[in-house]
Amino acid sequence: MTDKKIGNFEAIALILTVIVNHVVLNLPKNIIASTSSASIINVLFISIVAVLIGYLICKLLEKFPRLDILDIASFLGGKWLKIVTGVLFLGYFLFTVSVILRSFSEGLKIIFFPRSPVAAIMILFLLAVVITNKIGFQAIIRSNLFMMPIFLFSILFIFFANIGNFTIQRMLPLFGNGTFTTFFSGLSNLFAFGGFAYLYFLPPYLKEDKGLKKITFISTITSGICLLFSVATLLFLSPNSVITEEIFPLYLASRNIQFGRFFQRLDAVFLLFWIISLTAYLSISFAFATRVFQKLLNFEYTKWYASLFALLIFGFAMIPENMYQITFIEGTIYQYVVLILIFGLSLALLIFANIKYYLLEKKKGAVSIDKAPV
Amino acid sequence: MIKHLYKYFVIIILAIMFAYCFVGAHSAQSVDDLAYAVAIGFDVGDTERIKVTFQFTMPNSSGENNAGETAPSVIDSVEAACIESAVNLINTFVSKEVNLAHCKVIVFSEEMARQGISKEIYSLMNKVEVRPDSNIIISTTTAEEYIRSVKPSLENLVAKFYEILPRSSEYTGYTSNIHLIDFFNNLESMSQEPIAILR
Amino acid sequence: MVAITAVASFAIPDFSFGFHLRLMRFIFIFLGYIAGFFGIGLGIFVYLCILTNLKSFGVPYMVPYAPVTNINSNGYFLEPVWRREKRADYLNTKKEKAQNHISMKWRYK
Repeated sequence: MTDKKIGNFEAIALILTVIVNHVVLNLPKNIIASTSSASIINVLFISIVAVLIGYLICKLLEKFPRLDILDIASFLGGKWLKIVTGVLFLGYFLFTVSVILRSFSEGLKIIFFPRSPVAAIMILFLLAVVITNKIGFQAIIRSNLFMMPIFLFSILFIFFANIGNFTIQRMLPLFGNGTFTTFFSGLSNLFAFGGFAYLYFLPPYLKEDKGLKKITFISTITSGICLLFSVATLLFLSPNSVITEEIFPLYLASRNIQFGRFFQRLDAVFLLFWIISLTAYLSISFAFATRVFQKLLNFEYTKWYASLFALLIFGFAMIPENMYQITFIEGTIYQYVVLILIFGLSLALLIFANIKYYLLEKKKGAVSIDKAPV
Repeated sequence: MIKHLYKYFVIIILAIMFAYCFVGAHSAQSVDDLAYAVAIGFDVGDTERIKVTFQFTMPNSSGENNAGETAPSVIDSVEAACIESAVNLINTFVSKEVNLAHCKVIVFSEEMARQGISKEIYSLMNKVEVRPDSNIIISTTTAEEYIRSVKPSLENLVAKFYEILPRSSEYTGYTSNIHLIDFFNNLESMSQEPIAILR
Repeated sequence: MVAITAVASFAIPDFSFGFHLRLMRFIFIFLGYIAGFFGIGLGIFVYLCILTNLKSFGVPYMVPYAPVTNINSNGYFLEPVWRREKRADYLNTKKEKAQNHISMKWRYK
């Protein structure tokens, strides 16, 4: 039992992992592509919306202490709804891992290994992921917490080191493509906060029950700040048509850093940290995927089928044929998957579960929810 | 017992396989096998579209202490249709593999600049090796003559000369420090025009 | 780079701790040969996971850094000695307070 308890800061680092890794890949580029010079206002706006949604989720989860979303689905609709929700979330985690894996490996191949096949890079990543998953869940979470300040600091550092190359006038015109695009259709930029998927699965693992609110607030606000700094770096550094064609925008921004004669090409150090952070993110998503599977089928240990899942992810990651397809998948399809699944379906599930709870309470007086053993 | 040994056997086979896959990682980065181009010059070519001039230095000449004499550098030019094919052609002449990672100066001749250099700027920006903070210089003569005539009297190494020269914009008003990334950004932006220094 | 490694290796106080470093150096050199920079990054992460999994006498190995229970007792920002009032959380001591609230009484007299 002590294997499965997570503290507050570890949970905050867990949710922050998602946004730090997506920021490194292609997230600011997709945000700037949709709302060109109003990106900063848009990011502030969706951070506020995300904080409100986080507050809503916490309030909805209050009635069900220590239950994750699969138990709530079984309370709402029986066994079949639990299986459907489980399969959807499992598919989401596997999809995320394969898309991110392929996208980063392609970028790494272009920069560092032009003569190696992409499959070799992906196999090495998957090998590290499987090894760390066999070591244990808590080990991954703790190493993630250990390195998280360094990752956040690297993103801030790129912003502050590039100040000499900024032209702040690129922020004008202030509302970019129009207020409608900034505020209404810009709401689709909420897909940046895909870390809420972990929030749904977190309650059984927490040490203290009341910590969920604190975790949500702090992690959402920090994610917003991180996103703001990275979008601001890109927006001020290059004009619009340049940003939307780049591969690893933040890496290319880090190539401009120069402090005198000794610190000239610091981009390799940043890439080392981002490789570590990406491995942590892949391991965590992988661990959650195996846990969802374990919960659906009542297995006892996850380590026996970790390699099978790795092979499945490798198969999914080999499907896109070139870089353009994977950029399209990561930019467009991933956006809609996150919005529909995490912000649409799960919120609806929680709202209906709360309605059913109230109806049952009125009828019977007290409701007892039998919790499946963790 | 055999099962445990089998696991290690598989691991060793995998390690050997990976050592062959990543050949590009450790063989391309050994310093002795690469020729670093310090300066590149672009001219209008006679038979092909452009004429590219490369200046190579030898990396171990920084230990010499010749006061007043510069270290010898190798200057070569080829005619090609674009910079990629120029690098390919130079690779056939030069024994080591040409690497543009230390390129500090890119020289265009004035004639070429009047015709338009956006194609070369795009190809240079797309290569990952070229540093975005290398300087752009436009020369009144052809680029080849300019590169051949650079003989700094206060320096031993040509590379250091190229690095320090545009930084005089920090204390003089008569010149300015234009990086490749600034030029490229101004080219693409709809509100700024690119500028470069003329020597 | 070699100089930084040599100076950093002086941070290990006891001689018998250094054996571990020598073994790890070989493993990281091998990883660097296989896959360059990328291999070293992966090696660091797997090594970190193994380290955080260790427990010596019931206390996790990376304790002020990895499971942070109280924001004041983390490994990155330590308080000065005269402000550390509580004993460390991972020791599960019987007495929690190590010093009084204002320990330097002579400052405020």
